[in-house]
Amino acid sequence: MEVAQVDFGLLDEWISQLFECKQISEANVKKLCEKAKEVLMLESNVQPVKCPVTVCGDIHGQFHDLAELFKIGGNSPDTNYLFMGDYVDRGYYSVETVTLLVAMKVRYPERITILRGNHESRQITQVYGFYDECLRKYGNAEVWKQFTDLFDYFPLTALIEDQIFCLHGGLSPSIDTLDHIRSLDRVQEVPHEGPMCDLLWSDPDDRCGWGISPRGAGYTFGQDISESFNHKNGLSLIARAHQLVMEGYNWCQDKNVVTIFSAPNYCYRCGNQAAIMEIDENMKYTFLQFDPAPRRGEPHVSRRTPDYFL
Amino acid sequence: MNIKHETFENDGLKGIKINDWEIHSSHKPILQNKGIEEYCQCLGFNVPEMLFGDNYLAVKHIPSGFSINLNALDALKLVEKGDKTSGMLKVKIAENWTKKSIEKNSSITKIVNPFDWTFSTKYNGTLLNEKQVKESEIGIDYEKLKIPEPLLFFDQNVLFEDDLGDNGVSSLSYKVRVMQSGFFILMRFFLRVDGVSVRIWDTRIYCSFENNLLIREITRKQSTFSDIANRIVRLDKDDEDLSMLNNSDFVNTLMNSPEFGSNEQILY
Repeated sequence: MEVAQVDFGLLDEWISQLFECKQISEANVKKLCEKAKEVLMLESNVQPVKCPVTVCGDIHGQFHDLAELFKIGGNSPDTNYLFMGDYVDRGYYSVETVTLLVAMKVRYPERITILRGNHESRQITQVYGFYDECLRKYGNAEVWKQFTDLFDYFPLTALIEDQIFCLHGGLSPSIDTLDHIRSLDRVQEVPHEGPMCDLLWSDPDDRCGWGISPRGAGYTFGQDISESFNHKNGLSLIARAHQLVMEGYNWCQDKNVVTIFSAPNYCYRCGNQAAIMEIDENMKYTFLQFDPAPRRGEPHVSRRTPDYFL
Repeated sequence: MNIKHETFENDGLKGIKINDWEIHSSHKPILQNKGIEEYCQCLGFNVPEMLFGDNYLAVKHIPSGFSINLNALDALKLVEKGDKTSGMLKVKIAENWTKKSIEKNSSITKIVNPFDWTFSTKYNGTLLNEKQVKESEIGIDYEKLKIPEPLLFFDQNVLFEDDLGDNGVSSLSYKVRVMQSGFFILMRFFLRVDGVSVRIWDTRIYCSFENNLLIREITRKQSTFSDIANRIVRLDKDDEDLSMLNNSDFVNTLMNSPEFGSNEQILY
C-alpha cells in the first residue's frame, strides 16, 4: 500500500492555517484523510488513553468555540485531549473544525483521541449541514466523501487508565463487557440498529432497567444498568456526550454517568454554557465551564431581517 | 392616519406600545436543569431538548385587560400522553429496529413513559379576559397585509425545538410584525420526521386598527416526507442535500393544501 507523504512541516502549516479558520485545499484534505486512515485503523474499539487528559463533548462545527476550548483547556500537544464525537453539523464551520481535529490527530496521535459520534455518518450529515457546507465551500461533494469514508475508522470508545469509560451515546443491551466492544467490526457506516448503533445513540434515563424510546427506535438505560456495567468492568465512571445540557455537564445515575457538552450557545441561540472535564495525573477530575467566544463576522441568528411574512 | 407608537428593548425583552395595545417579546436562554425538572414534573414527559421556557409573546389590550400569550408550557400541555399515543408516528427505522430488537433483546419491551414524542401541539395561544371566540365568515385580509407598509416592530422567536434524536425536527416558533394599520402574528408548529412525515400547523392572528377586528386563522397541513423530498430539485441523484428541509418557510411551499382550516373572531 502506498503511504501518503505528509510530513510534520506540512501538517503544522495546515494546522496553523486551520486555526485561522481557513479551510485547506481539496487535494490536501485527500492527503490528510489518507494519512489519518492509517493512524486510526490501528486504534482499538476501546482505545486506551493515559491521564492527564481533558475530555470534551459535542462541538458541532462551532469552530470559534473550539478555539476558545483550547484557550481554556490548554494548547495541544501540551494538553492531551479526548473528544467524544459530533464534530460536524449544525454550526457554520464543520469543515474547519473536523479538518483541524483530524490534522491534530495525525500530527500528535498519542496526544489526541477522536471518537466517533452519531453525526460522523453519511446519512446524518446529509440532513444536518456538513454535506451542504462541503458543497458550498468546495463546490463539490468530494471533501464530504473523504471525511465520511474516514469516519468509518474512528474508534467507538476510549478507556482512561482502565477506569473511566468514554463514548458518545451510551450503553447497549447487547454488550456486557469491554471485550465485547473490542470484538466489533467498526469499519462501516453507523448501522440503524445493533451494538455499534447503541453506543453512539443511547441515552441514560431516570427509570430503571432498559427502555425503548417512544420514537420506536433507540434504548435508554437506567442507573441499575450503568452500575452493574461499571462494576463488572472495574470502572469508576462512564463519560458520554450526545445530549445538550445547560450547564455544560450533568451528573446522573448517582454519579455513575456524566454527560459533557462542549458547544456553548448551541446552534448560536441556546444560551447554554459548555464544559470540559480535566483529569489530572492522579485521576482527579475538574470541570471547566466556558461561554461562547466573541463572534467575529458570524451571522447573528437572533437578529434576522424583518420580513413581510404572511 | 399617523398613530403614535413607542418601541423599547432591554435585557432580552423588546416590544412596542401602539394605540391601546402593548406587545412584549421575550428572548432568554434555554431553561436550566432546575426549570427542566419542574416542567417534566408538571407535564409528565421528557421535555424538548431546547426548551425556551422564559421566551414568550404577550399582546395586551390595555383598556379591556384582554391579552394573548404564546408560551412553551401552555403549548406542551396539549401534547398527548399515555397509552393512546401507541399508534402514533414512529421514526423511519422503527419497524426494522423493533424486529431486530425483539430478536436480540426479547426481554426489553417497555416503552419508557409513552407520550407523543413529536411534541405535536394544537396550541393556538393562551387568551385571557376574552369576551367570546366565535366562528367567523370573514378571514384575514391578506391583500391589506401584502401592502409594504413600514414595519414599526418586527420579531421572531422560538418557544421550543427538538431534533427528535436526529430524526428530524419539531419546533414551535412565532413571528410578529406591527404596522400603522394593525398587527399580525404567525405561530408555527413545524414537524419533520425524516423519511416519514411533515406537519405545519399554523395559527395566524391579525388585528386591524381600523375596525379593531381580531381574527384568528388556524390551518393544519400534513404531507408525507417522500412527497416533499420529491418536489425538491435534486443536484445529484446519489447524494441528496436535504438541508433545505430545515427551513419551514421553504417546506411550506411544498406542502399539500390544508387538511384543516378555520377562522375565528375573538371579541374583547
